[in-house]
Amino acid sequence: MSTPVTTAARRIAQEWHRNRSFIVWFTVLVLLIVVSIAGPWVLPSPSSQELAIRLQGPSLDHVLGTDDYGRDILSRVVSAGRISLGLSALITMLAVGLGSVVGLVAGFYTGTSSILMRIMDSLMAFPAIVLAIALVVALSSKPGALAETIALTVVFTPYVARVVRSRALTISQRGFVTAARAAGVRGVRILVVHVLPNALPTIMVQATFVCASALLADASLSFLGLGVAPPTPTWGNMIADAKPYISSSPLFIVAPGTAIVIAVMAFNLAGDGIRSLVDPRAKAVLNLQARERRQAKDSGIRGSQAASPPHQ
Amino acid sequence: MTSLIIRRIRDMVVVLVFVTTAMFFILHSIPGSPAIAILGQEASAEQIAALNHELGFDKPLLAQYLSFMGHAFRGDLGYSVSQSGGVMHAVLSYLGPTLLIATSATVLGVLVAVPLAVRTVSRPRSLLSRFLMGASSFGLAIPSFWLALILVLLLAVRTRVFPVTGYVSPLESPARAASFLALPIIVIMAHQVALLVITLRESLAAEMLNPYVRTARAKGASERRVMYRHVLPNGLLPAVTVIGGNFGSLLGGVVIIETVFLIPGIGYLLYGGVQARDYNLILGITIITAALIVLVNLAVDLVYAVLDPRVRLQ
Repeated sequence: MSTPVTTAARRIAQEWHRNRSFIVWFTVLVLLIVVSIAGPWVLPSPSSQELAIRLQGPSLDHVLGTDDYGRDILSRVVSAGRISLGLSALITMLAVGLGSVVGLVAGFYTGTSSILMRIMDSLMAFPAIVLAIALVVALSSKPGALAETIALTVVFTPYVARVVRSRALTISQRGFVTAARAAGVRGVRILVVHVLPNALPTIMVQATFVCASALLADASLSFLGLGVAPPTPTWGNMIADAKPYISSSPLFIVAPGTAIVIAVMAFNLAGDGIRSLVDPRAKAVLNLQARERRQAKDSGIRGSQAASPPHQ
Repeated sequence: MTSLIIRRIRDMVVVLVFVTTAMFFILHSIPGSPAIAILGQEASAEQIAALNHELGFDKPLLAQYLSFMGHAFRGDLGYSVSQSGGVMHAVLSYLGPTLLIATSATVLGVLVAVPLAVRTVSRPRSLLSRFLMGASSFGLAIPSFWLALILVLLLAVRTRVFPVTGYVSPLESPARAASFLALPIIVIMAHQVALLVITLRESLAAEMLNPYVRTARAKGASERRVMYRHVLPNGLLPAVTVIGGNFGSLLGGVVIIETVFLIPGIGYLLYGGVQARDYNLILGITIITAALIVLVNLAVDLVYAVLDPRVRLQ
């Protein structure tokens, strides 16, 4: 008897065999989110200062040591995760929402495409971080979470719009859209009921990549002092704080950077995993790997020698 | 081909006008007058009015815009308060180091990434290939400024292989310039190589599924010849687009790490402009970097058209 749970378990087992990295990084992603939500309740306060124990190495009380004000680095990395991940998630939702609307409209009502996409092209002509810096400076005399959110939403929207538009364009030419048109369904309804659901996998993949880029951009901005300002910790402003103490207490700078790397990798690779399920190009790589694995198994020899064709 | 070039140049001009207009209005919609930002909150009303008049900020916005565009078309992007000179002059004199790092990292990156990507496709299960795929994902996730700081710690502070920060023009002393530029170029290259290995691996793997690979093998071509003679030229095409499309983020990376290595490039200039709230300078830098990116994209499109006749004939 197959219940939904066993079916799901079997699906996961199959996926595990084919695409291990997706499952691993998806788990890492979930863990990161759980830790940054629950962590600050368990760990000591990220803002309690003890100047007597500043810039100490790891100890039982402070697993990753203390910073220049004697604050616990682990607590600060975890609560910085709350800010950095939270802001990136917010930026992603706004950019993906806005970008999807622009992309769907430009792809479905092709008449609007030339104006909408010209605007998007213009925004994409700037180096993302330079545009973000200019926008943050323009938006407020004092940088902060709001200016950063608006700036990065503007920066990332066109990337989503471009991908969604090309997907919407393809979907709009499919038979079921023509059929719906012939049946007299209104344009907006076709867009929402027929085009949008088919574009959703593409949109989800884009969302993971935007989130990874937003994390990196947030880190760069707060490193330059243009994001959320200290004493509120973010991964980027922690690295800026740690810069003067780089050689005396390396853990101070290594900890937030490692957190960024893990979080960005988790988003990128979870996104790759979703993409390999929906994008034929990415599937080609998986298939090639699977074929090599099969060949290696068939010939009964382990390792790469059996997999590659003989050299002449 | 000529019509393609003309069409692309026309598109480029349109995008540049859009970009300039958008940036102008965004930066001029700033709450508070730029004069207050320059003179500080304690300045008297007369001082502020005088500076606003001197900088032309007291005219209507549309008049300011038209005069700005008129000057911009003649290569004049206004006056930079923090640099006490023309914006164009300031940007051009700081552009060298940035472009030097960006181009050398791209060229070296391609030279390193192509053989590595070929290796990951021809022997996907070898230890090196598996390591490379992990390393590439890692390379894409690492923030450039953090990698820069870690490398400074390991290679400049601890072991003193490279100088910590600073810059010497290659025209003055190529050897010293190379030692100062080595770390910044390595940092930017790491990202470039990671991106190229991932893209190339995907496009090469997709090419390997084509029947011409079997034909080439059947006629007795060596595996090396199949790869470099047949698969690589086809698989390189998407990589050209990726290199072009990534030029913006490459430039952005250089901008950030210039502040770490204290290299007198565009990023250093921009950072100074942000600190001084020098809006003309920020506007000028965004417009010129956008123009650079648009130019690179034009070049990429033309290279693509030369490499792939299907694009040319469309």
